[in-house]
Amino acid sequence: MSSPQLEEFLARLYTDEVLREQFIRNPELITSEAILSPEEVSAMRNIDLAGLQMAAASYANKRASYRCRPQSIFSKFLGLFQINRSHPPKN
Amino acid sequence: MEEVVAAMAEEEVVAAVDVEAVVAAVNLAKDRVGLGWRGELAAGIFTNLDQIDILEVIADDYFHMDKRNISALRRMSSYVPVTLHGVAMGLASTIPTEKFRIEKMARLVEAIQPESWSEHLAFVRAGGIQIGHLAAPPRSPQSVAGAIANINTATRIVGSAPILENIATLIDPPASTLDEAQWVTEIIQGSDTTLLLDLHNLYANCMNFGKDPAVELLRFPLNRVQAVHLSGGKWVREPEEHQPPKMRLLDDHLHDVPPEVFDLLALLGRHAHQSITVVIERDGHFPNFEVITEQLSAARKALQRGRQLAIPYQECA
Repeated sequence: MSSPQLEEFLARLYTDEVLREQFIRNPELITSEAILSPEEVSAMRNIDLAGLQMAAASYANKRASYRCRPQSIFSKFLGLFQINRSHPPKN
Repeated sequence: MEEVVAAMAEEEVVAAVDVEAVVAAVNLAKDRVGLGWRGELAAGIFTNLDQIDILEVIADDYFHMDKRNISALRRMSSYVPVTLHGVAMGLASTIPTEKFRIEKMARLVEAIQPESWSEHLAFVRAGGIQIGHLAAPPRSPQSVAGAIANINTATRIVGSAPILENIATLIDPPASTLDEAQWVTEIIQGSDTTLLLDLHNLYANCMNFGKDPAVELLRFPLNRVQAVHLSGGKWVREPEEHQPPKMRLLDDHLHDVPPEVFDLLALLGRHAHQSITVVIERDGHFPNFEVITEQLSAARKALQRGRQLAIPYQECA
């Protein structure tokens, strides 16, 4: 059991803090409003709640780190390679 | 007669041992150990290329680079073998991967001519929502079918098949009807591709969901393992409302490879007969490069340890 609708519901739970808190408080209500099959609703009501919170926090940290990431660092250091010619090419 | 038979049997045993030794030696010669390219490690990488067999470059970092940087990466690939590693295609999904994402990889592969490219068995977006990282989809026949369709599309557009990586997850993916080893095996076999087996991801998932990593490792399609990732992580506590809060292992790539993961590499080397490319990933909290070279050396030794104990082919069947 898996569907685009279930993946979208999971993506919303992982990224929408308000929805996630509502779901944790009242999973029956939130899943009844989602477009999910009865099997998917049942699976969501038995979700690993601690894992959901931890995964969501981890994804949020990742998104934040991407926003802060200096994009120039790769080109800056890759540029070093252009002047480093001491190693012969490897085949 | 008995002496002749005994002598022949002894010869066969010696020959078998010799063959095993040769196979192990050949594999050892072809096994490679390398590092994930990170700008912060550049100086150490350039001065230690004699200890680095291959560099893995995050493809997505170069999708929008200018010609000068693409040219520099191409030049680097002429000095040391390069493999490209994608992180945002979202292949393991019931939702078709958008073609423009695959075409970015195709253009980079065309420009760089790497020896291979890889992606994750993960979904990263759905319904226009970007999760921002690799998420485990429900492990089911439907997501197996979706992944195989996406992998086939990617293979056709890029012109070569991706090596596919298992991911770490802090959440036991809901609505799953297959366990991780079954799910990965069905996708790898169904798409006729090879596996980039991330041993820390495997280890973390086993720690988080109460499984024995050595047992689980042997349930993966080890004859399809082309490459291996090694990394480290940290233990994080479950939220307080879950009593008693337990610890889960977060694969953060910010810590050294733990001994348990090197042991898994040795076990893999014992059971897989093909040559394997090992890449150590480090994304931050960068240590002195000596620590990195020690980890590279430890990986070689672990693989060598496994090869020396290699299980003969007939026992692996």
